Amino acid sequence: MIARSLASTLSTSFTGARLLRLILVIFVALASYSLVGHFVGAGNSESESMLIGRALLGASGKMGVGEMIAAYPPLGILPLITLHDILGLDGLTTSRILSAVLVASLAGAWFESFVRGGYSAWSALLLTLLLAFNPLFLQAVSEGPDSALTLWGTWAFAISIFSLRHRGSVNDVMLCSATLALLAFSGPIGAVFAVASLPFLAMAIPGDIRPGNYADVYLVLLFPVFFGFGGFILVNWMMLHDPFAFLRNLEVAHVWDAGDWSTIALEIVSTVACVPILLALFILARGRRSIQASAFALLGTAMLATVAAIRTGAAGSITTALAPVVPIAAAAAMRLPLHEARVRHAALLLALGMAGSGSIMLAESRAWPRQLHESSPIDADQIIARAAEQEAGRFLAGRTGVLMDAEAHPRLIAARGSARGLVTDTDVAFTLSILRRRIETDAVVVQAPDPSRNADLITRTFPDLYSQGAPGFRLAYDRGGWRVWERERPRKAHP
Amino acid sequence: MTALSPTDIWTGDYLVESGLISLSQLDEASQLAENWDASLSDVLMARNFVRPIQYYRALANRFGINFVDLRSEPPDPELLESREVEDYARELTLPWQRRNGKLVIATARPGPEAILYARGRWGRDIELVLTAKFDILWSLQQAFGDHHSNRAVHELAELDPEMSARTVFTRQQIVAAWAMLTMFAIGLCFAPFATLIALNAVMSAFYLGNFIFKILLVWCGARREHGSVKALEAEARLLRDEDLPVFTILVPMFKEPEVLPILAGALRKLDYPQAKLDIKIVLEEGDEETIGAAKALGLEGIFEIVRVPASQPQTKPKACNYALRYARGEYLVIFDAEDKPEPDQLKKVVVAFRQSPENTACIQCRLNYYNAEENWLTRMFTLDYSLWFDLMLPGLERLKVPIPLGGTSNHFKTKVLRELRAWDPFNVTEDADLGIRMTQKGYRVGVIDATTFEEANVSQSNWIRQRSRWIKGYMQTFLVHTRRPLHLYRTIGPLGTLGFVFFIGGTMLSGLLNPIFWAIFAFWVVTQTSGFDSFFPPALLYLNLFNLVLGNGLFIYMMMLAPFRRRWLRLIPYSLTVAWYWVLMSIAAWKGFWQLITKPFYWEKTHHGLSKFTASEVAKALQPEEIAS
Repeated sequence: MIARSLASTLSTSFTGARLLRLILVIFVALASYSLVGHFVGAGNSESESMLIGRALLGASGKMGVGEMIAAYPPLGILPLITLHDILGLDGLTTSRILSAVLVASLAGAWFESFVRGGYSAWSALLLTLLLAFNPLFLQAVSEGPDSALTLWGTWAFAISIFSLRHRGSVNDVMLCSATLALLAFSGPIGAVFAVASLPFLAMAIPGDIRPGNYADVYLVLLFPVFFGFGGFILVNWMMLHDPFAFLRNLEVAHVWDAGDWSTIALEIVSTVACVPILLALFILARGRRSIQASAFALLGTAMLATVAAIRTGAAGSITTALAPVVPIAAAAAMRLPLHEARVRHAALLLALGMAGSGSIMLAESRAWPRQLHESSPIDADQIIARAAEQEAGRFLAGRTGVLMDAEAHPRLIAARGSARGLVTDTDVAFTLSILRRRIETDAVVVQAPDPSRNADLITRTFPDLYSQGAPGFRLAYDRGGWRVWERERPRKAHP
Repeated sequence: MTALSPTDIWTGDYLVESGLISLSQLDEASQLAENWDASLSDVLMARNFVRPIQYYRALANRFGINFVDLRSEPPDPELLESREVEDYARELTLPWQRRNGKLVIATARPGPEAILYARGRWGRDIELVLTAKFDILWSLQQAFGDHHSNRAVHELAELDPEMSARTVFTRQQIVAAWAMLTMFAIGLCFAPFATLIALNAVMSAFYLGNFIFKILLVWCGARREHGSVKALEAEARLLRDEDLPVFTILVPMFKEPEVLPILAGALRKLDYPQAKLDIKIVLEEGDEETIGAAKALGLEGIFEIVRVPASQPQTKPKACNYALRYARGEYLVIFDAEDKPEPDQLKKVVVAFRQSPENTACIQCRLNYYNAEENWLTRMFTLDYSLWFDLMLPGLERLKVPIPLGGTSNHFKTKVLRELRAWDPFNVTEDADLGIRMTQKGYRVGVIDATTFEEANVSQSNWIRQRSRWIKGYMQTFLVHTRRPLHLYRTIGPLGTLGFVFFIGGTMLSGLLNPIFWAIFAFWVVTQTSGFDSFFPPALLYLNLFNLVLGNGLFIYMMMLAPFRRRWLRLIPYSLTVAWYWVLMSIAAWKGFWQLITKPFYWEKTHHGLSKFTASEVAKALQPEEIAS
């Protein structure tokens, strides 16, 4: 009743036909993205695996809510667990559905914003199609809910940058600071994007604000991010007694590849090639300094974010790093000046962006094998390790009574498809095994010890388990640095 | 533009011939009277061109009728009727005495209109005498002062008792509170953990709802800002003076003579035909200090001093109710003594009323401070007010939630105000209460972008006094309007009810509850005790954590946003120190709560004029060129 009352109070000009049209667009987008998720996203991404793994652990009670909310990124996991509980599907499917819903609603939002921005329904549909089927965007769809949240964040951020510079109202400030917080907490790529925007935010500050007050404006814009991280540290301290525990998830923090100037220049050129509409805005919006300044700020942010995402390892590839430019292009298309050739300009520029994105994806796929073996040992190691985890996970699917440090290996849980049947640190058998230093289950998973990474609890408790096994256990699986030891005579009842 | 009446033309000529005014003054006054569609006498006195007593005596000579001094020869009380006081005040005409079998009518506006009015009201067999405008008003107060004072106190409580705060707690409320306490006690005896967990859950849910509602308000309020601000300004500029109605301005004061010059200066600067201003400085009868200061200022004819007879409770709403009896304006506004309204405020209000739905009974203008930069407290208070008036109240309007009116600068339709029996003298935030009452009675309150600047409290003890009164008043308002929950729900709707609970209830309750949660958290941080674990099951713990982190963060953030609209960006960093402001608020909340029980109607007086800015404003207002301008 209250929601209805609120909705009627806040409702703008949504007529029945308009609403129906919007729902249709979202529905078509949802169907398309579900197919894309099914066919394209065969190998789920690093971040998605982590998210699914944590969600599965959380949903099966194998991970405390404290650990869940104290882990970074924190935004995607609760909706994923909720949806998993409602639908009862496996983790990967649930994740794909959630991503598709998020991204389809983004496409719907683009369509609606184009219509409100003065485009006809057919023009809006054309522009939405050009954006929604941009190859970079389609790839991002298969990256999981965190990626979808980043895309939402970048679109809202771009809108806020245009309106903040142009109008400078309280709503614009709120939108900008909220989207910076959303980006910072949506995942590593979003966080990198938020940091990359810092130098360029100055260009989006309304023209009537004196430079002497820029620091005050920065304070308002960044407060939610700072306070959010402060709160996150507090929650980590309260839940895990380690204020910076969440940094352990951020493997990107340990990776820094400076690259050479030619590579960086290539990345910058690639960014421009994917979002030519921002460059075109300089010319098409002649005399409208607020639009030009915002376009420059967004282009600068996109270029810096792409370079930084690759250098820090937040993005595994240039195409992943470039995905946020698609929502930026959507926001820029809204700002093309009203002109008889507006639709033509917008469609052409978005099509050019689509072509640029496609070319870069093609170039990347051709360069892939060479990169794997020659130029990027860090990436190669990661890819091999991920493949091994997936294979081990698939081996464990359906097996029960398996002792493992699940929290340390969420990707393996994601590959297994469920955390049910595992004996993890929330189970008594796990605690007894650790305390007695004797395996109390029918099977145990152990990873090969490696001095370059922190050992999990199983390896720390049983340092020789990987190499020597345990009395009464036989080696059931041995691939890619993972071994599964199974009891030779299984017990009858599992904990 | 309306031509002068023949009466005004030859009255003007006569005044010049008599040497009471100069020719240039007559020209100027005639021009203004035509532009404003006002009488020449009103313009002459509004501009202080002639002393009222001289004017009326000269007029009596010219008309060849007697002039009577009502102070020495007051009207016969038998002839006056209480229910006609408003007509007497508006027409400036009243039955004086019966002489030789004829009824003698005293008027302060001689001419055909007065004769027609008097004949229409008292018959043809009458005789006219002339008197001064202020003498008529003074006589009415003398004749009906005690009666009106009594009505000012008791009218609402007697005729609409459900809406009066005279009864602090109704029987049903006491029974409901007792029942809840009993249930709580039983719960503590039989299931102490479950009971405390349930209490914790209710409070946490309340906190969550409170901050979600407030961020929604800020968002909606800010959306409204880019709407019609410019249009309203333009419309106000286009208004013709002759189309403007008479506007009553009430300025209740008590023992604050020092700020009178600021007020007089600010009111003189109002962009509104002065002859159409009915300014009443409402003073308590025993407040000789302020009465003396007002007289000493030699204010123009538009200023009138209304003395409120002494009675209890001695509150601002009672004084305003009393003065309302004598109001002549179609619209009425209250300003505090130290207020500086923006010059075009009244015109904007007229436009807003004309553009609003017919049921709009009040237009609330924004309040802010002219001494924002004086010290930490004034900065925080400015942030607080900016958030309240610039963002939250427009948000309430947009969401159609009842608006608790701010202390001043609320402009009413006088007729509606009288119909609703005006302010509740037993409620110490009578304005907030009136806003809610108006909505319940089917009227609407609007908010516009016109600001009145006031003096922010510079002292923390003074601030706590003021805030404790406000919070006590909010408690009274909450108690009054929740007496009939179903009626409240039916009249203001679900969102209105929810908004009322969070906005009025949330403001007072968070001040009371905050120290409890702060103490628990501080104790836990210092001792790391596990003693509280039982009261915080996981879901509740996370909700509390969410409130602690996001809730506090959001409130700080809202404070940061508050000065953005006015671009007072230098105040933003001070938002980070808001925690101490919250502590002060909690002290005030507990003080207000204690007073609600011990002294519910006690008016905690806020001292004005403490700011150094006020001193300079007073000095500025007293400069001759300032007065002349």
